[in-house]
Amino acid sequence: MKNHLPLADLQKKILGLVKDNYLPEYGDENYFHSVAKSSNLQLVRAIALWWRQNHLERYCFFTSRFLKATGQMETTTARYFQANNHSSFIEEIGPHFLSWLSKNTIGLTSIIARFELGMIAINRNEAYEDEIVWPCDPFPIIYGLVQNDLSNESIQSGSFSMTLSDKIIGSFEVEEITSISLSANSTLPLKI
Amino acid sequence: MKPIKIGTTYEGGRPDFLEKLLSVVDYLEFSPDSLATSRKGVASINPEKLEELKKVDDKIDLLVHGVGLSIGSYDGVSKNYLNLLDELLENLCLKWHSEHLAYIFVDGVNLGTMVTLPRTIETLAMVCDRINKIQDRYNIPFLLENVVSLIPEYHSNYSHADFLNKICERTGCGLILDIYNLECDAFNHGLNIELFLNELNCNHIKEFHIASGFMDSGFMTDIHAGLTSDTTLELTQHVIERYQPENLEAITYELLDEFVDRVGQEAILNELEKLKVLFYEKSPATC
Repeated sequence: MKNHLPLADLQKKILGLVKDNYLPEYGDENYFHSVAKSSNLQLVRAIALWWRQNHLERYCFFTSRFLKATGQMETTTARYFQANNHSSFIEEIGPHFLSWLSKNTIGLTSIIARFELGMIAINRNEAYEDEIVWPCDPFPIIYGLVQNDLSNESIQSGSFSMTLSDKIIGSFEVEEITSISLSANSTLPLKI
Repeated sequence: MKPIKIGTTYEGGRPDFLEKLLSVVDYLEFSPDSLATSRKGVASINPEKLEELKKVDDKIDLLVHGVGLSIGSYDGVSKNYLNLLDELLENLCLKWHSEHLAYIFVDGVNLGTMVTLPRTIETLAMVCDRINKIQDRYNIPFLLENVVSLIPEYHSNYSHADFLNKICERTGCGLILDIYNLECDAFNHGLNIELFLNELNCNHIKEFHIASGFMDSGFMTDIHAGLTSDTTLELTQHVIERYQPENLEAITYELLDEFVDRVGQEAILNELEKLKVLFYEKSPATC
């Protein structure tokens, strides 16, 4: 009968393999080398990711639609879940994911995540203030995401300042920065 | 054998569907994790979903089937999960509760899916100790379920069936035999289902789970996404007829809430009616 590795050591190595931050070493049992090379491990990672994406699609409506429309959903969520210990609760994963995206990505991905983070907080009746500079008109993009029909035509150049606040009716206002100041209250159905 | 009751999973938030289910099923099974909400790391049962279940508590049996206990984590079970269970038991009359024989957390880090345990002497002692504590804490029966092995198995002291037998003998807990998971293990890893059943003391089984899943990268997965297949129903029938599990009381059709709309409420209700005809009306106890 072979000696068994203590359960703690076994589980720590499995965790490392699932999270892709541990590579079996020379002295490790053959078992870990074979798990590392197995398609089973890829499947475990894929299932774990599928569950998390499923939750994010329901909770982070705008951002997940944007990530999907721009072909970033798989890679971005995989990167997030490998780098973070996620909660079992979507009410915690959702905002954490959006906050992580807003800090660890650039351009529209970061901006949309920040926008959605604010909308979720305001919809939860939390006090919230933020000002986001958009490199394009946000309305066609938001409309495209609501309709799940985001296209290149949705991205119209310009520079716009968006104020998000729980004190604004409709939750946000947008002003064009470069030309004449234009103020508009949100009229889109943005309950998330 | 006792008459076999038919039930299904329910995750709350569909009151119209719940009303329809009440006329078809004998019980509902729900997961504390699916009913829970969390703020600042503290989990609690969503008050609206709890209210929904309280309203039907006197009309139908309620069973709990968790996913977040992580009974096999070397560093302890989830306290959040136990708090949720406490809350449910304070508010509802539960017939029994159950969990998966697996782990989902390591050092507090969420693996994202359940992983099977090595069937070793150390694991057996640890799991039995935890089951005893759970049974002391809650005054209702506790069952464990066989889960699909995804990661290749670590070398073991016990066979699948022997491990389950020993857990039940040492603790007095019962079993949920997930029929579809057996099919997955047979397909994915060549589990000999007949050998497994011959070795298993089927009198420990109190509940069956039946479900479906889909193929991914050549593997059968247990993501409960649709109606049960004929092979699953035939295997269920076979286990009842051949092994006559004398304490079997319930068959649960599992479907994830995410797939209710895709499968369709009518199709789900028809499925449950079919199960009643197959397993309740024709069960040895009711014939």
